[in-house]
Amino acid sequence: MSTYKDIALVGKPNSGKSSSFNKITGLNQKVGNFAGVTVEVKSGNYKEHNIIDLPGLKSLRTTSPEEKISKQAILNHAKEGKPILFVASGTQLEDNLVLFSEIADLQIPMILLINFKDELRKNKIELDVKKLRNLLGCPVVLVNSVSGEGIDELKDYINNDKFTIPHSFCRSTYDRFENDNLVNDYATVLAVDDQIDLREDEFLNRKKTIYSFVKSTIKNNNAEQYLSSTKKWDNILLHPIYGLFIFLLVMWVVFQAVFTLSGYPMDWIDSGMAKLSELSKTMIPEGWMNDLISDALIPGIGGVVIFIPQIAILFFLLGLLEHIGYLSRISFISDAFLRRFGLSGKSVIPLMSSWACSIPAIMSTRVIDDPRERMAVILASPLMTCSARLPVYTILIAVIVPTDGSAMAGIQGLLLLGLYLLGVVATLAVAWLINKRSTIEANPHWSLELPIYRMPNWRNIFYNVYNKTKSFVVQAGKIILAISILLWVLSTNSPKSEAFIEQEFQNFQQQTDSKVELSRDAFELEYSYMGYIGKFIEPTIKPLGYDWKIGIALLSSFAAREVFVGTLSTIYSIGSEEEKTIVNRLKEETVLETGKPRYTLATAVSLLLFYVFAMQCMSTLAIVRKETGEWKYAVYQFIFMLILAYGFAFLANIVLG
Amino acid sequence: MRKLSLKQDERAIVIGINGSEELRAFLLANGISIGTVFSMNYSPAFTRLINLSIGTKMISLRMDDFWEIEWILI
Repeated sequence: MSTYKDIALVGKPNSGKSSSFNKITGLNQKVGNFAGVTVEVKSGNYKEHNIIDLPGLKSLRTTSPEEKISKQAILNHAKEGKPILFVASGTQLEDNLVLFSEIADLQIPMILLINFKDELRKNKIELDVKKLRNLLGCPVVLVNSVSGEGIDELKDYINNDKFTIPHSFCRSTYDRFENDNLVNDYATVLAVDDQIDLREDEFLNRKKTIYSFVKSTIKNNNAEQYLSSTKKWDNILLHPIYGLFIFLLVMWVVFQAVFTLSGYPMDWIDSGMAKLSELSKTMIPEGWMNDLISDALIPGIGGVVIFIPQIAILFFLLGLLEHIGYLSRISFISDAFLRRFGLSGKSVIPLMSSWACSIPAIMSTRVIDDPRERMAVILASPLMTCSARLPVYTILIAVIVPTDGSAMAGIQGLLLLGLYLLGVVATLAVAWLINKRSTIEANPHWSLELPIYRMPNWRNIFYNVYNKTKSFVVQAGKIILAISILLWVLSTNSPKSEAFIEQEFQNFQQQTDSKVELSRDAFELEYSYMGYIGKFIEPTIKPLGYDWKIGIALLSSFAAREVFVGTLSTIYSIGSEEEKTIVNRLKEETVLETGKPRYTLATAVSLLLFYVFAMQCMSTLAIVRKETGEWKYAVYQFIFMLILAYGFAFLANIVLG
Repeated sequence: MRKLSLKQDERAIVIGINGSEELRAFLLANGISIGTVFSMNYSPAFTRLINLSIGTKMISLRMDDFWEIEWILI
């Protein structure tokens, strides 16, 4: 049993909760300037305390799934008498303290942390902490969670267990007695959603009390002055011409950075891994260990490591936009456009996150209040081009378009952009379809909080990049490495004897055209377990222009798209005398019977389209099941996307073949 | 399309909220009730959103919801 004492960190979105969590625990997690950035419950230890960072919530009478997580945790804390550390934004104290009063009425031991001390100072806003402490009835600490100012004082309060039950605000309004017995109280009312009616009087009472508290404790609270700089920037950044131009420019810069900047380190990693594989072949004594390391482990690890530059750059840029407050403006200006597809501006963040990975994107849909919109984004967002598709696209495009500096080389970028656009169009079309057909009741109301523009907190951005990249490498790496080893075992072992294969090889050489070159190793691969599996499914994929080797890569990449490249690396490196890059190996691959190139324009385009539409990611299916609560949605999604992928790949092969 | 009579930087006070109980609850959760003072921020027409400041909080509402709020200039 854990000896740690739970403390819940609660507050409104944008109150600086996550950065306070980092400062207290020393752990670092996602911190941002966009409402609802904490999409999952995270915890970290401080001495004997377990600090639980709950998603931000606006009110205890909440509707969004993310806020319900927080509400339930707060009610559990109330039931067990566990303390709450409430984080309030010092610049929005009145608004934040209304939520504080709702929680205070649950009579939980609390400490109030008032954040953004630096911004109060900058705007010459004075706060009488002592007076506020007396009015609320619990400890109050003024903190700057970025610099850490005031954190030591807060830690002293935590160490000395100074959590105190605050004064009650409206609690007694809910208490209902029958024969002197309490049969209904505030906590019961809050716990059952159905019983939550509109209680405007209660809200007004809370607001009135809080307003009088804030008025008597704060001096020089000039909202207009505080917002003046943000309002000036909004005049430009939300403008129908300049704003849209800047938005497109920002998107272009993000794309350029992700695709161009990452190109160099990706090339280094690719050639570095090829050299490492070559080196291991010479350094390690010949045998199965040499083959396993050179042909399975190193190419497999390379297939994961090669993603790092793209993922790191994308998360850095998204983090930066989030921290400075621009990501919310993107939601604002895109809302009208997305409404045509039954979505809203709040879908923009999950959809854009899908460019990195569908898993965090689907988890971040918890910030969407509308259940129908949320379901549409969950089911459609895997059609956005995630980073795992990128190596598949990059390699297949390189196979069909030369990279030798000719004029055609420029077409590579356009093709890549086209595939991304196709992903966006498919996502919006599917979202529209889901919205039209869905029986889930839509939430007709929508609001968006726009944070002020702030300087980015570089340390938190870099920690976020580090954590996200590490999480990807560890999670995807485990699957890819396991599959690489499995594929290697299946491809180096055969149900047939060595003598049988030798005999078949001799017969083949005598019967076939002398122009057809086939190495003994490639022949062994055909008779391996993997060869048999590939040949078993070959009739199904032949209409798409694929052979059994591509079939194996498709099957293995059902685990994760990026496995496709690793599998091809494994398949084609087996039997090769020298280590080459994957693109060269694919270009040299020929059809056994004809000697013509295997990867023609038709085959490559067909494969590209297959990967645009197919749901080739087990982890995404698992997260869809988790977020929707039912396997049926994950199964429908998988089948629907597979049908789309097969259909488009088939058409491409017919038209171009 | 209805024309908005509130101009940028003008301040107003909420004197009534029409519409469903659900909308009133939704606005309450966003800190908007009778007596709330707000100022109008830059709200370009193409977004079909109304951008308001309530104290130091900036919040955007859809036009359809905003039309249900009765206010007077202050």
